[in-house]
Amino acid sequence: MASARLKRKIENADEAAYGNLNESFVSCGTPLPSLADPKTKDSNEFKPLWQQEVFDEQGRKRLHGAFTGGFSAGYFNTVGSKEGWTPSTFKSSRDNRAQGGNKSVQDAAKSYMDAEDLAEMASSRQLETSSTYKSAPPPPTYDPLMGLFGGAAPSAPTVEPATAALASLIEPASTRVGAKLMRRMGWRDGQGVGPRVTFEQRKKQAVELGLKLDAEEDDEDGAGEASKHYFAPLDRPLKLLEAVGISSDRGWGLGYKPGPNMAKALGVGPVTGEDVAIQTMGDDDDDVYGDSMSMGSLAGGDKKRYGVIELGDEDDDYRMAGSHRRSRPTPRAPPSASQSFHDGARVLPGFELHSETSSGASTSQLPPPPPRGWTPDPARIWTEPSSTDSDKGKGRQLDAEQRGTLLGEPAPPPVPKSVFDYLSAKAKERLAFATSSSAADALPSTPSAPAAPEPDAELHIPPLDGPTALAALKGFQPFSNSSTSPDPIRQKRYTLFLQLSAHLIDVKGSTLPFGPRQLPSGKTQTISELNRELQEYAQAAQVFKPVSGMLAGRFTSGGSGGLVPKVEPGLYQPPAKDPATSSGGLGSFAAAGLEPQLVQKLTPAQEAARAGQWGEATRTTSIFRPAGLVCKRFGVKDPWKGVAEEDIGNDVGGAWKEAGSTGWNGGGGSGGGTKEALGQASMDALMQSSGFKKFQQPMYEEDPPLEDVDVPFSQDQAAPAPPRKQVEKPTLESVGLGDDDKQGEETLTYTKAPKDIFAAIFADSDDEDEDDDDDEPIVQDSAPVKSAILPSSETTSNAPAITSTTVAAPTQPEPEPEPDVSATVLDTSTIADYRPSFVPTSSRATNGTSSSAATSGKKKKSSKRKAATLSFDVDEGEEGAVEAAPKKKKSADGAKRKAKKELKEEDEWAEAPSTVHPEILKAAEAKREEKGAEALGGGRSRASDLF
Amino acid sequence: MAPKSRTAPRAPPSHLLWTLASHKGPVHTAVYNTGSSYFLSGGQDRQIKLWNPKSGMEVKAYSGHGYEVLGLCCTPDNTKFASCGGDRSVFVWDVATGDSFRRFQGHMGKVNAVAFNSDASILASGSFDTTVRLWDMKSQQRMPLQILEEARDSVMSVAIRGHLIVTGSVDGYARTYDIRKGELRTDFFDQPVTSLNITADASLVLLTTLDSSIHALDLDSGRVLKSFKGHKNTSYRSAAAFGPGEGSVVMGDEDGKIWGWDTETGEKLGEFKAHDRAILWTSHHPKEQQMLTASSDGTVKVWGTR
Repeated sequence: MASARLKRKIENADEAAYGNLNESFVSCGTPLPSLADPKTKDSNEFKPLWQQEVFDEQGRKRLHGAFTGGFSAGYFNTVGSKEGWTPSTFKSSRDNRAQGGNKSVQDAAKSYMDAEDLAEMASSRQLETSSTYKSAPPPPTYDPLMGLFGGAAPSAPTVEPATAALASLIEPASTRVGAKLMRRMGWRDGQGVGPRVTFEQRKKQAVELGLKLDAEEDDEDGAGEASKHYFAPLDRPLKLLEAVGISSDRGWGLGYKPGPNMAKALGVGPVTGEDVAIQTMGDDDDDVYGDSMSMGSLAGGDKKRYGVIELGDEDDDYRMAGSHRRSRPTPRAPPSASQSFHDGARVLPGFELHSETSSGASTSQLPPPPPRGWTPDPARIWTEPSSTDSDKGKGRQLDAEQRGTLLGEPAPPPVPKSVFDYLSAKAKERLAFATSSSAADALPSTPSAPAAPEPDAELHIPPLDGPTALAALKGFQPFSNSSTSPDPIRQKRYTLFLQLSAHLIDVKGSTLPFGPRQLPSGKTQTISELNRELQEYAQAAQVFKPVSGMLAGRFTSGGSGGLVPKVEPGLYQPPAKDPATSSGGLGSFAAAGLEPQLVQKLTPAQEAARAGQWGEATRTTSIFRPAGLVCKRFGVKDPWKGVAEEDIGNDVGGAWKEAGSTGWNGGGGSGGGTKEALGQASMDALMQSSGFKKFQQPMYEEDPPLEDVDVPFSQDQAAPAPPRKQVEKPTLESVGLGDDDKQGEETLTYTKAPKDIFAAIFADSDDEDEDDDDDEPIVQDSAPVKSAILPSSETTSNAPAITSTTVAAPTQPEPEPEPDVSATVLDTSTIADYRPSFVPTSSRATNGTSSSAATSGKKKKSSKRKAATLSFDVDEGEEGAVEAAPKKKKSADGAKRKAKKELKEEDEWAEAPSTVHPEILKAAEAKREEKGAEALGGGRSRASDLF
Repeated sequence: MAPKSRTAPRAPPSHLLWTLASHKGPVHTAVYNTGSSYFLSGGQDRQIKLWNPKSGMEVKAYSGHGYEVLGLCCTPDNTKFASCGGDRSVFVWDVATGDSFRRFQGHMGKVNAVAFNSDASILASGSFDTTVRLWDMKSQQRMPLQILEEARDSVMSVAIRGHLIVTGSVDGYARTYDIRKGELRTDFFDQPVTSLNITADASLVLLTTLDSSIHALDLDSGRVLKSFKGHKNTSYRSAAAFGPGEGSVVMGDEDGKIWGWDTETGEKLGEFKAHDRAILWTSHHPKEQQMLTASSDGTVKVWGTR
């Protein structure tokens, strides 16, 4: 009730009075992070639920899923084993009660802490020196270091607490690894490092170090005994640096000693800036050593007693208290070989110990006044390292190669090519242009020499390190003749610059080989232009230096093989092929034989289509192999069932087509056996097949592609046909590429069967002649075959195929002297003659050109239709006839392939001339006509003769 | 040459029965069902609609395509139909429920045409990816039974009659796959072949090429018996159709005109303006004087006689 009233009241009230009534002051739970905020972005945002992972604040995975352990806090925090809670075995603490007693509380607490708590505890701990590092009470024996600080003689074991604390800072831990190692190697505390020395040497060493050996050792008799032994070398006494010792001067740096100030030092004489720098450097050096020396002297004689323990510590006899040591050379001592540092090390020959002390720091905040007549010139400082300094340090600046030659190492392998050697000329030019863009821009745009001298118009040679310059000398020369922008003058200057940078040429003083040169415009370069040019050279050297080492091996020359053809980018577009010829081997020959410009022209099919003469010219028939299931679904029998894929392939009936197209049956009145190779192949197939009947039947019915393929040629008989057998020699550009028609052909290595096999197969004939050609027996063999076939042949058009071959046999001409010429060039008329005459539509088509087109068209159509219906009728009624076709094909498979092969390799197969001269053909034809008339008695005529 | 069964040619019906404008955007195709009592239309608006041409009523709309609908084909028993389009898959729909119960995926481009075989056991689809895929309707197999890859350019139309599958492709070829003979007959037209219509006796194919011509191709010989010209068809796919009894040929062209020719003689029978914009599909009732034109102006018009 009350709430309803309140609600009504709110509703009635105006917004201003109760504007915040809807506001909620209660928040439950943690608000979800803002989705917009990239920081709190949910990493699981795009993951499905089962891939999401939950992490705690420390980024650890603690939720593992129910079946893999559940919430793993238990394991990680308390349980202690992955498998679960392991009950701890009882262990008596009786033996180690003392230990357990004092650690129990802490460890018990620790055992309940997880990693976070432990980390927290660790972070809350104060860092302090552990007990092992705390300074133990000084040992009773004399410690050299302690002695320094505490001034404790062996006799005075107590040390002041202040110095003890100080010493604790420096005192090394007893278990330093270095010391341990040294001890392992036989070193004892207090000994020097090095091989053992004789007594004499030791004495000498002591003198050098300024140590005094024990009086006992000095004894003459002792020397006699001692000379029998080797001794450990003396320890080099440590020198404490000054500033550490003077704890009161907290403001001073290490080794600082108040001395003459800078102004005083400068006041000595007029110095250049450089000299000042050098001097101050020297002063610093001096301070470190020299002043510590003085400190050492300050320390007093008794403080500087160095104990040297020799030959072990079993006896104190050899212990020697070092006496007052004054190894420091006199500050103003002339440079000599005897100079040595405070610790006794000799000053290197050629060096001079600088002992000049400087006064205390200047209290003045002002910079020292520059010398009179000094003008600021930053350019001079910049030029110094490249010219004078590098010149100065030339002797030392050997690169690896130079060192190698000095050491007599074998010469390194030749410098690997630069990346830029692999670049194309164009790319190089672009690069060169990019690097020289500034100069290139400047050069043409300089109108004249600037009237006012530029403020920085001073020759500045850009620094280039020696190895880079050397490498660049061997690398690509951006201005050489091999480049795209040859500029001999610039190349010369570039080389000079590189040589200079590589210190290959000596430059005396400030005379540089560079000077302003004549620009092509006739003007002289200004200094700034020269500077720019040099800068450009330096850049070019950086860019064009060869790649070094491993990287060089990763690049291979892109343009090394001029033999490799350039692959054109983009999609490969096959050249337009004659659709009428695309189905078979003949087509490929025709396409190959066409001239390039002919290819560009309209194909016969195109011509026909444009002329509106659709029909054979535009129709191509090829094998279609429907899937078995498709046939089933269509309710038809699989037409190619049981026929291997390669048997039908693309070209219908391989050898048959070729045989037909190349005159196997010698149709059209030309001489039989003109195409010997093909004829033979076909005959082989013929022989190996189970019989002529089977082979001829499908020949007639199932080979419509034959005619279709042949038609374009037969139709334009008048025009000279392109050389047919002119198989294009594969050029280097086309081999193995997309437009290589003969791609992969060589892999099908075909070897012709030796002659004796042919002989073994075909030699059973009586009238075989050994001296004849290979094909002779075959052709002659066909004679009985013919007689066998004639009665069984059912169609009239079968006969001409056979007759022509057999008739040709006696008139087998001699092989052509130039078989390849005759093989490759075929007359149109011969081509037409090779056309298989047993295919009625084809022959009609050819004849149609001569006879009236209209009638032929009609006839053709009707005949064609008849053929088609016939084939289907056969399918229904004469099942066996159609079945015979694939079977026959299969059996003739080998021969077909052989024939195909022969066709392709015709130009290589010289022993079997594939064709005969046209004139011989004519003669043969005439003969054949007579003979044919005799043999057949006009009983059968070719299909073409019907028209 | 033409079969004798063809009736005497009549001019295309020019009386507008219905203007059906419920498609939004161009209507790409409008096909009769088997029996030609209804028709289906598919358009750019991804909708397929079932119409009654007699009453002009929209019987049902089938939505499910994600892209435009380019091809339709009805099964012989009228229980299912197939559609295809820009979504590279072929849909098979149940006519009654309106569900697409099958979807064949595998084409790599948009699918231009679909066709059933005589018992709807095979569905052929021709696509922009130059292939024709034969899908098995009898099994649950989702892979095509066979892929016909002979075309070198987009396959624009597919027609099946008996044991023949005829495809028309932009590469200028009409390909006849003779399943029974195991033979592929390729007929070359120097122009893209955009639509196909096979006569009932599978002797002729009416195909349109983009040089503004329609060819009646004799499937046996590969000869073109007649070419029908005069209209304008240079850039769109536009289907021609046989008139009643295959005695005439009708086609709507890109100017929105409908043309009719005598199949036998090739004479022009009539021409009239039907649409404002290009006509993309023309279907003719196989027996009656009734014609459908689907146009890019978004309408399907049903033409008849008075």
